[in-house]
Amino acid sequence: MHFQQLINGLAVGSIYALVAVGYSMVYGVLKLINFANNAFMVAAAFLLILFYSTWHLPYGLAIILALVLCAAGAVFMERASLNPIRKKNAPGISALICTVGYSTVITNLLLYAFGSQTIMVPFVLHLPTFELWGAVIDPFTLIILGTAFVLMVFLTWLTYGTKTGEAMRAISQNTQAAKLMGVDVNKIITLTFFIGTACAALSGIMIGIYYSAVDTTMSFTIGIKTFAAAILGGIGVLHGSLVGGLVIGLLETFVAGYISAGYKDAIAFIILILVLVIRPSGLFGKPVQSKV
Amino acid sequence: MLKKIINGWAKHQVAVTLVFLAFLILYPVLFHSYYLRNVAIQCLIYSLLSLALNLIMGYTGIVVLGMAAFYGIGAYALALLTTKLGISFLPAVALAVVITFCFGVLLALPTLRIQGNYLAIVTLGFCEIIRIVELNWVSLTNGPFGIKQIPAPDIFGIKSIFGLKLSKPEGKYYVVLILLVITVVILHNVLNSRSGRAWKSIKGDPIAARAMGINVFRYKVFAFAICAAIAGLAGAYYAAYTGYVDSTTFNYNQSILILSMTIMGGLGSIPGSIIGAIFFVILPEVLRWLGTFCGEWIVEWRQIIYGLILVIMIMFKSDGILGGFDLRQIHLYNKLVKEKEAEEKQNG
Amino acid sequence: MGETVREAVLHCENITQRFSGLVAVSDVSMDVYTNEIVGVIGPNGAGKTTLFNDITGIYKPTEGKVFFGGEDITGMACHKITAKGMTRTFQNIRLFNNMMAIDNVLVGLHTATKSGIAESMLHLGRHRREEKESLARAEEVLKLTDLYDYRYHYADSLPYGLQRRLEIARALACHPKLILLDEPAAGMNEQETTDLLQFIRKLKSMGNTIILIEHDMRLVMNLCDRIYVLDHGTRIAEGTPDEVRKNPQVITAYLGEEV
Repeated sequence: MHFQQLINGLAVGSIYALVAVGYSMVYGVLKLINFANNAFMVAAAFLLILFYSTWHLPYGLAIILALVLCAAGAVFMERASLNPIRKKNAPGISALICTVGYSTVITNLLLYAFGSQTIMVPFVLHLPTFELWGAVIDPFTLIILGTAFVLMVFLTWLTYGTKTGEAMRAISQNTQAAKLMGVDVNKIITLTFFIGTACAALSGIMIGIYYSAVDTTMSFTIGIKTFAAAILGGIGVLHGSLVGGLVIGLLETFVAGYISAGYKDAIAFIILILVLVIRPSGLFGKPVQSKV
Repeated sequence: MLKKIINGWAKHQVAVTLVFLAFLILYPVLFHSYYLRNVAIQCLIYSLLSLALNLIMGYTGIVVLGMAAFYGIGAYALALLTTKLGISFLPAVALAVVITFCFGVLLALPTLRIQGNYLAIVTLGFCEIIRIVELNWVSLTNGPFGIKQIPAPDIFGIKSIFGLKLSKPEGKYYVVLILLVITVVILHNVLNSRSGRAWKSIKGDPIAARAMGINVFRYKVFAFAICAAIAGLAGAYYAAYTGYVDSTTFNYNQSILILSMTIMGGLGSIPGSIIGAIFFVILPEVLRWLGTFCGEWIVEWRQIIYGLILVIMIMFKSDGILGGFDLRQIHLYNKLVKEKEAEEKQNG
Repeated sequence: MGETVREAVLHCENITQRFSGLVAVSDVSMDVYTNEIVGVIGPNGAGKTTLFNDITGIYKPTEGKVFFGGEDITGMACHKITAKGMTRTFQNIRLFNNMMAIDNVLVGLHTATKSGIAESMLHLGRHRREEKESLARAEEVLKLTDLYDYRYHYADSLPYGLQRRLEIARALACHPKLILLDEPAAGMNEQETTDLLQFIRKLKSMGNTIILIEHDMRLVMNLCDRIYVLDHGTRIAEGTPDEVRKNPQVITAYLGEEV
């Protein structure tokens, strides 16, 4: 029983971690909470349904198309709205509210196109479940864990081992200086949105398959939980997002299993508020002192 | 164009306000339809909510994305006080306001130390916690079935004055109008005072505000709690107005709607908030009307249109239609310029 | 200075400020007496502004103590220190751009007034009386700083020199016991600097006590009674303008610059 919960928690947690990474990457570069991240996450699952179940495209192609479209959507948002807002030197809240607006538009477009009922997310591989230490394990959880692990390794390498990552970190430290050092800031920001959103989109698909269902309210419920995960780990810190996602996934599963399923969705927010109160910069974040 | 209108408005501020107030008072006399009266009530309720958000966001500079939480707490507080404890409308409203004020303080104390943008998300999380509690604490809130048969507004048991039945739309209309007028007067007073200036200075530059001796944290907490209390007032009235509350009313979309109203109307502008509220209440009605010509789809596009307005507004005038127009400042400034010109003419 | 014992308005004892390994201010002591103008000078990055931030409570000094009017204010919250009668201006102007000039000055009077939120909401007696008094004082300060004709302008619509002056007006409003000016002449032209010099003299003649950070040597040397020289966070000299000018360490620190 405990082991079962642990496996479930880890699976959910690693998906949360991937979405949280999306938040973290964008926040790291722009100091912006990209509210539309969660809308893109859910959109990917719906697009998969559209491409695979309705248009009968090959499964792999359908997934890739869904990911690319979502990432392109985020890039569009950055180019069409966020970039002009930044250029105007508008206060920081403007960009946040702009992403809230995008999130509203996307979620409601999905609602309009697919309706409010829960839709089954298709999965082509029919893997037999097996038993391990008394727990029934869906092999898909292993795929989730594997994918999350591989992506985290890739992102860590990208951030700390490549020129692009160096540029990202430079922008996050000081945009102006990075520009003077010859970093193509807009290109890096676009890339960050692309990768971050693609991660979130992939998680959306995986979570859709895992729960074998998707509906538009998940944009909010899961989106806000993954945001809590990002803050818990210290937003802008990649391994922080991983830990944050896992902690929230595990806690939530255990709360649902042992306390009350109804309050499962509240646990992330309670953690979020507690963390911000006790350690505003998160578990791995460094406290910032404003300069006078 | 806009500039000209606003200059004229600033000059005749009192007159414009009085004319608008007279219109509001005469509204039920002019419009008899049940439908139009209810739309007007919605406008006034949302004006309260939009003003509440404007106080914290437009004047103090703190983004709150979870306004529906306080709206819901106020509504449930009144519903429970009247149905379970049998308290009459006015004291129940007062208690609901006190309760939401306390919730505001409770949430503000630990979270306001958090830097800017995080707080927005925390309020959103808080809103979701409140909604989950409203839905799951069945013994108190009746869970998904909501609370029914909440008595209509009355004044210490008196159900009609001057032949005006308080349980009818026109009666309910005057109740919310009075609540709104009181709120606007109080807000107007406090915003043009030492405390109001302290709030504005925090928005302008929190570090300089501290250096001027302002206890930034304390003022933020109060702004937050007053914002919560006004939203609670709106919620309490809403519960008595509809006679029924359930948790679905107080969700994320509600919060975003209130946010859109405040931003659209104008950050830091009291008339702006009222205009924003009226705009967003009337918009779906207009869409419904348009729907009879071009198909029902347009009504379903409502939320999408809200989102688009939010995006477009933020991109092109990020502080809203009336944002950045302080009528008092414009009036004083124009007067000063005119005096100067007259002086110069006299001196040759 | 003579041997007469005067109580220091401000007394800093061995202030050290570290930022994660970096020492911004190291073991600086300093005294300021009533109705003095004290200059704090030093090359860029010498720790002058950090010292100001330590004194005014924006930072808490890592080591050392600050006494204001004989009271230990080390680590006290910034707004409480202001309420005790210490105000300041900022190197990079920090006005409330969303407010009129007169409202900026009225914010400066925050500590001089008491009425609370509830009183203002209900428009009660004390609120009304204080508003009237504050307004009168704000207008007085605006006249004193020659800003009266600009009182209804938004702060950020004022020309640069006037913005600097408005910041001083805001700091001056509540009759502070000590005013800290952080590079008041920065970005000003010759004429504006001369005006500023006369203005600060006038402030002194009105009984104000002032500490000022400044790069403009003409201003500092003409204005200050005493000067502290910082370099790399440490105090390398202290004395009258003449003494400081001749100090070999100061000359080395400012090598190539005319002192």
